[in-house]
Amino acid sequence: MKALIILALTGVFTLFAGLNASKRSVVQVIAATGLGLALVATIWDRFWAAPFSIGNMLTFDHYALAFGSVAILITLLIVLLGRSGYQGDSENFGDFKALLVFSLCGALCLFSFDNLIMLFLGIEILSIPLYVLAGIRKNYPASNEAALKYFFMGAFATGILLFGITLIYGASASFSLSEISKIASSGNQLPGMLKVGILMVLIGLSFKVAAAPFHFWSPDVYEGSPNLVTLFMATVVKMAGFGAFFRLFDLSFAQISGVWAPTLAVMALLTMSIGNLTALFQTGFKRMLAYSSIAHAGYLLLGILACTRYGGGALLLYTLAYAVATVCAFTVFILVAQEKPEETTGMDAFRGLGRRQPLAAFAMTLAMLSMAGIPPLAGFFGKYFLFAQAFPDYFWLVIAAVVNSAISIVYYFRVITEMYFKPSDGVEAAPLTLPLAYRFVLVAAILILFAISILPGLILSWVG
Amino acid sequence: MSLLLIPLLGALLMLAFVRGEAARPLSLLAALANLGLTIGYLFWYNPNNPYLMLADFSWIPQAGIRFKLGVDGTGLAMLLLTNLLTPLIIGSTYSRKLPGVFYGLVLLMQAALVGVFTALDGIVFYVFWELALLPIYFICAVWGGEDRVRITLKFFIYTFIGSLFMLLGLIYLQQHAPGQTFDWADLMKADLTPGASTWVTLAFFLAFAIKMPVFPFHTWQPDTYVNAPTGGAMLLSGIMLKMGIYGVIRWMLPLSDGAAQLYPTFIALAIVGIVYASVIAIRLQDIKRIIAYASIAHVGLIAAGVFVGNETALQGAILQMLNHGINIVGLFFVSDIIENRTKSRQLNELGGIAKQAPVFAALFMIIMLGTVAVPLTNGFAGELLLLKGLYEYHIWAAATAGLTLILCAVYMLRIYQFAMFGPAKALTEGFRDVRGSELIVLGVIAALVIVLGVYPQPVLDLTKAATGLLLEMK
Repeated sequence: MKALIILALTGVFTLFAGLNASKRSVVQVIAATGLGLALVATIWDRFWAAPFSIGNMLTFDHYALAFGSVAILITLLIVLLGRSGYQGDSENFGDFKALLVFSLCGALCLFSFDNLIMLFLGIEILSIPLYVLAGIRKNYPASNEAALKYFFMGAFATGILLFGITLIYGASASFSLSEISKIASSGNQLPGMLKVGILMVLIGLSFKVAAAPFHFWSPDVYEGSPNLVTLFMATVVKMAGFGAFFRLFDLSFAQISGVWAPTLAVMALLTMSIGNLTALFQTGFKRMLAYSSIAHAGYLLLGILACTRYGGGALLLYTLAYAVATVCAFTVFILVAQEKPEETTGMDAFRGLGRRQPLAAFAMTLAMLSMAGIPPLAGFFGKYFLFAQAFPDYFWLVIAAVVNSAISIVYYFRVITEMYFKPSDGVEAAPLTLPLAYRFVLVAAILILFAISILPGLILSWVG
Repeated sequence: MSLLLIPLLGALLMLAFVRGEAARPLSLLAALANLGLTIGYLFWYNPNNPYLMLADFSWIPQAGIRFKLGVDGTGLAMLLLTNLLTPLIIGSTYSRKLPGVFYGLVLLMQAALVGVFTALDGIVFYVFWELALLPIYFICAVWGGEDRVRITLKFFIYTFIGSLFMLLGLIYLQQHAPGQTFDWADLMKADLTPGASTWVTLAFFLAFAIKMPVFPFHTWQPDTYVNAPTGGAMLLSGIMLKMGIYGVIRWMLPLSDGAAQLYPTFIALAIVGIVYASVIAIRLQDIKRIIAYASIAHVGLIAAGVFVGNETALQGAILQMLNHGINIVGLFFVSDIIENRTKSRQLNELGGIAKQAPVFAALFMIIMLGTVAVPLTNGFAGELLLLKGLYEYHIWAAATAGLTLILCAVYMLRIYQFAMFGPAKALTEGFRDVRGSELIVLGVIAALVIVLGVYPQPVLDLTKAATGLLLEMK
């Protein structure tokens, strides 16, 4: 709760600070301080405060606080990158930071809602700033296209979600998750309206997390949006979507998984396979990461299907490992993309990076290995817990996921090959300087990745 | 624990000497320290108290995973193999390009191998198993031959797929184990239906067979060995493939007997591989490629022995793993010396080296005889035990596998004859004899070939208690 208030205020202050376009550092300091305070407040609440609830609307339990702290941490890293990685007009710098922070407020609501109204509001608070952010490069057509596509698809998905919420209300006469759960687990014949409602909510949320067959918007939006916004979408927004997805289905519909689980299982299979197979054929780095992020959504759906053993812990571990690796990858990508004039950058942008900037290349290598799920990196533990808990009930799905993980090595290793094993031409052999902020973010991300692989159990128990 | 920490910290230290000359001696020092420690453990080991625990603390309690490392006689033999060969490998390679990174990766590899051979927890085993793949991937892809990127990726994906199925097998075992933990003893007591037992065994077999490799999963191996830098080929063939054999002994054999009907097939595949690889080796010209196929043949015999799984065969297998490691490192070093001086590995371009370099010829002769398994060399004791074990299983298995002795003599003597004897050719004119560190490394290898050939008893004593224990579990 404290964090939500701090963040809302931070957003407002940042907006005002941004009025003076020449004072970028003031904006930066305010946003970073606010996020830092919010992070401290969340961790404080997690360990030293009793769960706090506001009128059956939001409950800040351990689950909400654990996911919230991770989302705030990732946003903080993104904001730290924001001074040199920012691609929009300089007069909008303050707006950019403020919108990121406002969007994060929506994410916090999505981790803590107790009521379908708050789910809906959270999604709107999360999404509306994002529609603006995607189009913040006003003079760049792809950015406009991304914003428009994202807006249409988002509005459409929210409509379906709202329709579903209405039907659920019609069947249960309540928006409260605990009331709905009572109806769902009463053992009586389920009203058809409830079943249809659940499936529509499922579809709405699948749009948000870009699960197949509702994923078509995501590659275009990822590619056209400014790099930092894409990074925010791939990490915090994805985490928020899954946080809400899990919370809703775990608290309300876990007892009647027969209604939604078969659909979701097929969607998981489709999502991971389509994501991986399409990523294989991508030449641009951002598009490759967009499809890889679809594939990761497929693995994460396993966590919603089998939410028994580690609760949300497995989901948290996976999203944390994935988000930190994505931060690493995008930081390095922004670094190498800055010197390329053309907009879509292929894999060859990374050529010779191992010699030009060893730290960045090392961070990128760890990120790719972690996303591919190769032990002992963080991504492996994320995959392990998701797969292990889904193993008893969804054996076939876990086998498909394992085969998919093996396929994903091919495209992740393409980047490693470019960095280390391809001979570099004369132009590309010059050393590359790493700005201090980038260096800090990369080192922090590497340390987090190693910390996860040394003590995965700690993260797992964070939600419990 | 310090067996693991010395190479790990050594690898970190190497980062300070990325381009420096000091990397090689320092990494050699770390590897020798580990060897010293291993020898200490060998003296300390008491066969009556089978497990020497190296580390045991809680790691991920929610999933029943403990960081548990320990060795019995088999594990100690493997530790000896790893820590004996690593200094030899460091001593026999000289990397001009980024020596710190190269030797750092070799030490990281050593740490991972120590982990594999000591892990007594399924997930710890799996993590080290995969960790070993990363340094060798980078070694082969950065320092390797022409087509290295494609071949190394194929190797990586091939072995990674195999291991993923092993991971599924481990998870399945854990969920059916009495204590629901990944502890080795607990996993091996898992209550499996015959069907489940069959597929878990198959999953394990896939991982281990790809690693060794057993026919028909060997297709990655010759290209990878030939394209790897010599140090990488030594690591792969000397130590890494033993991960597969050790995996069978530790993680597959003690499983319940529900899958016993699969083993005859495994044995047959291993024996087919022996003959197949030997026949190909006889017809090749490239020395490194011949050694690669020879390795498939020799490992096929060890694998057949392990799958047979009686006491004689198991003891022979453990002894022979050590011998094969020593011999193959020697052979790759010989081929590297020849290639460095003549810029060729083709038998038809070589000849007459023996007259120019008598010391080299003598040492090569000893290593070659060890590989052919002539009595009083190390190969003899191991292969004799293996064949005796196979004979106890079935006479035809022993007879077919025994062909390896004859075929191996053919291709090894062919290398020796074409490269060392006859008139000197343009490329071999002025072949410089071995000296300095080359002489030391080759000398140590040749000495080991003879010592272990004359007196293999200490290794057999070491493994006797351990194999007995494994067979009791079965």
